[in-house]
Amino acid sequence: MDSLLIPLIARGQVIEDDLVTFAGRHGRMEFRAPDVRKHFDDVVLADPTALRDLYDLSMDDILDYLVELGTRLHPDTNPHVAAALDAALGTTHISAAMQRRMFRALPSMMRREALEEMVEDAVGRDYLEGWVEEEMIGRTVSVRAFGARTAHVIAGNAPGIAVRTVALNALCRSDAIIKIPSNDPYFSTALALTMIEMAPDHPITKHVTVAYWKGGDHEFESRLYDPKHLEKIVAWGGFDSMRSIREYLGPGLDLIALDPKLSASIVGRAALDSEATMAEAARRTAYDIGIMNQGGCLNARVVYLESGTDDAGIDAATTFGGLVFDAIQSLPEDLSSPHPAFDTDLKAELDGLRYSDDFRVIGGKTNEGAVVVSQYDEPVDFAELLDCRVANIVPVDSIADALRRLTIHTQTIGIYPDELKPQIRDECALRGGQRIVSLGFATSGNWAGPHDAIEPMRRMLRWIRDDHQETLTGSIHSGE
Amino acid sequence: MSTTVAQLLADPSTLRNWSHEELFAVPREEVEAAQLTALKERYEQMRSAIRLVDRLASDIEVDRIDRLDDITPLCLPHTTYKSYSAAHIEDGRYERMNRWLSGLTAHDLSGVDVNGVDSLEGWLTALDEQTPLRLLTSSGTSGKMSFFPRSRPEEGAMMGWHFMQHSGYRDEADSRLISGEVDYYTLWPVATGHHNMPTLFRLLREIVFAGQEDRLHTLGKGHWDADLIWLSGRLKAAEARGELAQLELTPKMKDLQARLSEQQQDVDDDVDRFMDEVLVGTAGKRIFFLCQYPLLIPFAQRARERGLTAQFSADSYVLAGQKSGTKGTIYPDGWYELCKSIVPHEHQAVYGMTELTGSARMCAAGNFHSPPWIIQFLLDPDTSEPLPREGVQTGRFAAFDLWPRTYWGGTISGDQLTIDWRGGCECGRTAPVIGPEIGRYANLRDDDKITCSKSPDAYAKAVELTLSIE
Repeated sequence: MDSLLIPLIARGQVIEDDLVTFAGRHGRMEFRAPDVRKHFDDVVLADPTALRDLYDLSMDDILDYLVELGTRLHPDTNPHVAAALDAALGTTHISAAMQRRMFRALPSMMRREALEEMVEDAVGRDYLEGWVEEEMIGRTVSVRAFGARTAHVIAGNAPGIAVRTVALNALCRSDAIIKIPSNDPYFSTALALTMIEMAPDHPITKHVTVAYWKGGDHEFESRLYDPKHLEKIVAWGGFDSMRSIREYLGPGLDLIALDPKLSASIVGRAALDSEATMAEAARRTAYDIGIMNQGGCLNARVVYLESGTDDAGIDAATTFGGLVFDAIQSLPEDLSSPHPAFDTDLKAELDGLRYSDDFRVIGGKTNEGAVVVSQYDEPVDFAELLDCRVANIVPVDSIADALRRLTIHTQTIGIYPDELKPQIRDECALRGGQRIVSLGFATSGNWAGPHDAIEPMRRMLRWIRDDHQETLTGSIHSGE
Repeated sequence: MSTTVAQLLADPSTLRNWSHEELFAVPREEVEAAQLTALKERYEQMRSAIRLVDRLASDIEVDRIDRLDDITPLCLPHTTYKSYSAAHIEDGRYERMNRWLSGLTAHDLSGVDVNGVDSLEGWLTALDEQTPLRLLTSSGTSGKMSFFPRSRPEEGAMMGWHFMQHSGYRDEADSRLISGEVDYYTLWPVATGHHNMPTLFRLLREIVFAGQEDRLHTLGKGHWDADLIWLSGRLKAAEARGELAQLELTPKMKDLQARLSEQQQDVDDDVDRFMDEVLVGTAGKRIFFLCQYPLLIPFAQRARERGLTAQFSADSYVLAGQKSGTKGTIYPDGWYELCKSIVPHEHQAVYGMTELTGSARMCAAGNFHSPPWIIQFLLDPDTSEPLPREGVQTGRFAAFDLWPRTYWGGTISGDQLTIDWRGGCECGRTAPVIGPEIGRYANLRDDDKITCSKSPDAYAKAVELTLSIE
């Protein structure tokens, strides 16, 4: 079994002692990392005013740093990133070709214009750069967005999540403690090591800590998740981890929860107009399901098709299911592949349905993916297990029947045809949906804009105001 | 023994010609040769009798059985038995449930009349009255109920083994259950219903306690109501999805809720009375006590508070089992000592699955041994390929049960087992040895993985939940 040493990166320091061993995913790898309990003081930033050094930087300095860092993240030229890619190959949900493509795309995440777009859209550069004065009723208010000491419990299904975390941390002038996910044990560390090599004494480098501990380690987490040491926690997905983090919350500690989510598609009757529209809608549906092997919250899992539920409708849904399955199989190899670790519980569910008249299972023989076409207006009972390029097509009589199934756990909704979007987007939102896209574009787009129905970057900041009034009144509400 | 092992595999009623000791003394080669012959026969007969098997075999192109391992692709996951559309039950379309079920059984269901049936209990009763089927229901983590198509002939076969299994093998304890001389006590919260355990109680009443049914004592006297379980499964699933608030209870559901609430109150009152009855009222008597640990632990905690310990005789038969973690529940520290302090008798255990007529009792050496009509397999947990039938192997347990003639005997479990194929256990049995460490693959997973997509969440509080809805 391979064993990987994962140093603790504590604000520019590389710590490799007090090692403890952890099991990696699928039992294929183990890794060793310093015991965070013995390095507690290295992990936390006890003094909140120690963020001051970040305020000597201009936004241009920060952008220059991030753009430069981006150029260094290519796995062909960066041995740390190459090692992270190697470690990821054995542990994740996607093929080697896809993993390589994803790593090779990392530098483009740090393009200056993309970072500037994110800053401008989410916050407004001026608020990060200094105090912004605004005239309000009877007073002048100056507002500035400050950074915060923040722990990031990140998801491990894409290295871009760590890149985004580091970028946001720098742009917000914050201090980050990144908890490594066990399903991507090395990339965050590789990123921090690259920062140390690039600019060892730079304040941005000095405000990133990357550590591994087992999620739910009560002794460590109850000390860390304390307003003495942190103002904010950014936590990604995972039902159990989310619940355990919520136990530590108290006054003074703000949770920015990127809850676990699932996504869906709504395909209107227009898709069945002709062979051409059917093929086009199927191809787009396949993109939403299959890109990155359905490993993300934005991938579609249940697809509602307005085919009707009479015999003709069910036949049409089954035909459409076949087209979607074929289209999944023809997705580009570096974007989608048979799943390297197909979920055995999901396989058992598919095998159980295969010979039932009530569901049609297309594919799913080994790890190639599958489309389950419900023969009645009802999703499979294991809809939450859908993954590994397995989707469920549910025939419905009307779009309203599809909308009824959306919940607060629904993130992205891919809609076909485009004309349907403005008609139903309010209803999607009211029922819990958080992002509406044209069918086929669920996995496109960048980080700018709201996410999971919140503005994470705004929430990562501490919004401070300076009120100025000429007349002494004692109350802002007594200005008559 | 006046019959051969081949006859035994073909005809469960010949078990009566065997002693417990003889059953486990047949050399493995002889057992496996007979198993292969019987398997080929079962495959030929049942492929034409059961639609599901024919479709599956055609689909994966299994046309003949030459070796035991050839059957493993035809071993079915438990999910097969919940592969119907839940809409049939929601909409009360029980003729559609019949059609679904007809693919799983050799019994002809075409004449089963479900006119006027408007509940699951009604459907189960219709099948009981009009067919030999005796469906076994259970509710999985997804909240959807499964229906396993056991029928009268297999029930009889299974009970034959049940009595032999709990009789003595060499120095192992003998329950004397079949003789009718011991009363049967169990901590089960219900007395009747189409679930595995209440079904066993029904069969014991029929076979052992006919005319004196009150000698089978269950803690709860109520009925395992399938409609209730269905409702709580629905609620669990809705809660897991965060949709509980959106769920509107129909008047039918409200009736069920009221019934459940009533039953729960009875259970609370019953516990102390039953505790007096089983621990003290049986003083000096030889009894059969079925008390799986998940039931025994809270019972023992209460007994300790009350200062009671088991007074029944030392030769009583205590069937406990389900060690900590086997079903995903971890027990509180000191649970075993607690249980032993209240019931200090020797604790027996079995390893079995609803799908099999032949469970395996824990032997004197702490291992398990399946009877000859169960063909055992271990599969690679990732590829489902059979592991070699030699040496010591660990893998996913699958089995083919040769006794059933009306449903397919091939099943694949979620359990991780270790089998020593060389056999020859200290207890005296020559059959292959199932080691005592039995795990669930579902519990062996990495629990520190985080992705942004939602993972399923299992809730184990159906009753509280059902009662909490307003």
